[in-house]
Amino acid sequence: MASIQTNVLPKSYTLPAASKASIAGSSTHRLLPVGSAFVSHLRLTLHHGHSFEAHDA
Amino acid sequence: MNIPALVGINFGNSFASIAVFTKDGLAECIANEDGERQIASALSFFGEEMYIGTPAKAQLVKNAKNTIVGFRNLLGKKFSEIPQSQSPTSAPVIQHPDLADEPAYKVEILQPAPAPLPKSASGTPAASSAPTPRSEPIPAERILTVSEVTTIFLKSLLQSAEDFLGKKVQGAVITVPSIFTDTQKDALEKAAADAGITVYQLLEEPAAAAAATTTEAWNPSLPADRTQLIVDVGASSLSLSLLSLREGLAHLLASSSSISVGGDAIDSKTIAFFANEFTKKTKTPLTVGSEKPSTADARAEAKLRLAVEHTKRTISASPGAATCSVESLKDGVDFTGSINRLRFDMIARPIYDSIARAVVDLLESAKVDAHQVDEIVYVGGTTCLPGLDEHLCLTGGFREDIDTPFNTGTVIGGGIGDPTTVLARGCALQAALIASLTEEDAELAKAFERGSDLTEVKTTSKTLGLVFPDDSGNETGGTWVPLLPAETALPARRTATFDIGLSESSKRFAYELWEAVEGIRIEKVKPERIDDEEEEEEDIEVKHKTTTKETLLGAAQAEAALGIKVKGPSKDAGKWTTTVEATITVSASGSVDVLVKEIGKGGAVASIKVSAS
Ligand SMILES: Nc1ncnc2c1ncn2[C@@H]1O[C@H](COP(=O)(O)OP(=O)(O)OP(=O)(O)O)[C@@H](O)[C@H]1O
Ligand SMILES: [Mg+2]
Repeated sequence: MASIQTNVLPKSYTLPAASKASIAGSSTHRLLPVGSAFVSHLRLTLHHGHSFEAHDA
Repeated sequence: MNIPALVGINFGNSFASIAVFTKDGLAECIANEDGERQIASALSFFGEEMYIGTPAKAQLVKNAKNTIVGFRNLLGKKFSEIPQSQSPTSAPVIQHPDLADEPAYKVEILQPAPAPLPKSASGTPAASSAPTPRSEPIPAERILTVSEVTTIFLKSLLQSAEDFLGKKVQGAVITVPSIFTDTQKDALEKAAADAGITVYQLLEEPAAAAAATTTEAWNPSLPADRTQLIVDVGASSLSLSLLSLREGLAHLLASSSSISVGGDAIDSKTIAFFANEFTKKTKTPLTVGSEKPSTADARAEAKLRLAVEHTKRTISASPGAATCSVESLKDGVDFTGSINRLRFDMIARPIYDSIARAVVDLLESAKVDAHQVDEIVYVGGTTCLPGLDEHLCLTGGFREDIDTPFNTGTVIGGGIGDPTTVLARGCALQAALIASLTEEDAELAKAFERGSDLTEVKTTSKTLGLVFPDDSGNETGGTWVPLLPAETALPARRTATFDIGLSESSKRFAYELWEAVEGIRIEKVKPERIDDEEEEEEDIEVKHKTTTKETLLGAAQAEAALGIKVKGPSKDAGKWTTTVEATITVSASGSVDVLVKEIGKGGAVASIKVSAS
């Protein structure tokens, strides 16, 4: 059994109206240029145009 | 054994260390020919000899004026920028006689006498076959620039590595303090090149620590997403870095550094203690730490300084008392004193306090509660002291279960958490990573160059997660499934697998995508009253982590197709559930895709798309 288990959805639950919101403004940082995760990040952004699908292919 | 000849060099102002890459993700510190892993950054000239490392440091007692220490921090500086010490305890920094505004050292050496002229080899029988007596070496002065001293020192480190590896070193990564300016970095790079080192990267110290602590070997029980505090205490400096680690990607949240907090300050207090003991025991007067000491006192102080280095290491390594022994400390009188951990920690307490205060200030500036720090990493010799860890954990306001290498038990015996090896090992791992890049990666390799724009990223500012609504009435209105923590570099993708509860009559499930803020709630708890106690005790603060939903970004629902009824004796028997995989992808521009999919053929899918603002 998975570690998270959600409860039953209440019968009365209705889906909220579509929201117009986007995620909060991001900030800019400098990655520490170390480790294999950093290399993967570079491959993703430089070779695969930021696309995970292209990266996986 | 065919290991690649890649090394990491931690070039500290007081001590250096060398690590070699061993195998799959591992690196180890090696000892030099003196058997030292912590190699004093020192150079000393005595007669015709040149000493490097710990034997050079020992020369501070009798040959201080020809002994060079503290040169790393002077790299790339002009003479006029360097404050002049009034009573130098080592070779003073002078203005170079020929180069404008160039700092240098002047040492007295003995030059070997010129070799006698070679005898003519023309068959004439020699008058005598006895060797020509070697003439006396000639006293001379030698001027060395800071850069030259650094080159000599780094060359010796390279030599130690090559002796160990039995081959030429292919490339190295060298630490550099974060506070070094570009000019200073240039100077270090040049000195290293002059030493014949192929420098793959100058790595800032916190980054070197991150290179070591984001590997799998570091601590498999720690989550890949965590907030890490690096506490680096050396001999003469303190540097703190707060990092956001997100599945191996690291960025700095805040940092601070200060000089004059460190091992030297602890030494000063400890030698004052021992000097006092010496005087009590032997009735020989001895004053240490004075501005204008007598020659005998200055020499006794230098001897004590060397000796307490050993005392401190014993204090760190074992819980028993540590001794400090100096032959002929003063006026020919020997000294042996001892100190236990309790006493030592009391003496070092003011320094522990300064470090703790600096930590509190840093967290305050970063608006991060100590409770939200998941891990403390120690770097630098002084952090080997268990008393410092105890003090920080006790007074820093951290969670009781915060991870430190002392809790994990990886400090003792040169374990992976040994603070004196973290930087060099991080550099060796990094050297191996850079060496593994192929031709195709040429563009990518630029990211490891200084000041590269390729390191720049956008990071999220809030946590993204799903709420599965229910009747529980809890603060999130259902089950909160966090998917992507705040301070994650973009683009990012995460998946989570979990079970969704269904009912006998309805297989509908729904979720909402929320942006949330993780915080801390402080609960005041009355301490248990202890009888006979007069004063009113203060409330105890108990901290709890909180999640506050802020912005609803979307919602989706579907009819589960693969629900099953739990059978058997479990307490969940009779309940309906389905297992799903949730994937969130946030693009560099900030658009979000969420896909919740039942695992299995024909599984239902409920997805949300949020466009970037
Ligand atoms: N096991 C130990 N226990 C306690 N103190 C130690 C231990 N090992 C080394 N030290 C102390 O740590 C200090 C050196 O730390 P480190 O090698 O990190 O210095 P550094 O970074 O070169 O120095 P600086 O702060 O001057 O730049 C010295 O004061 C030394 O006495
Ligand atoms: Mg240091």
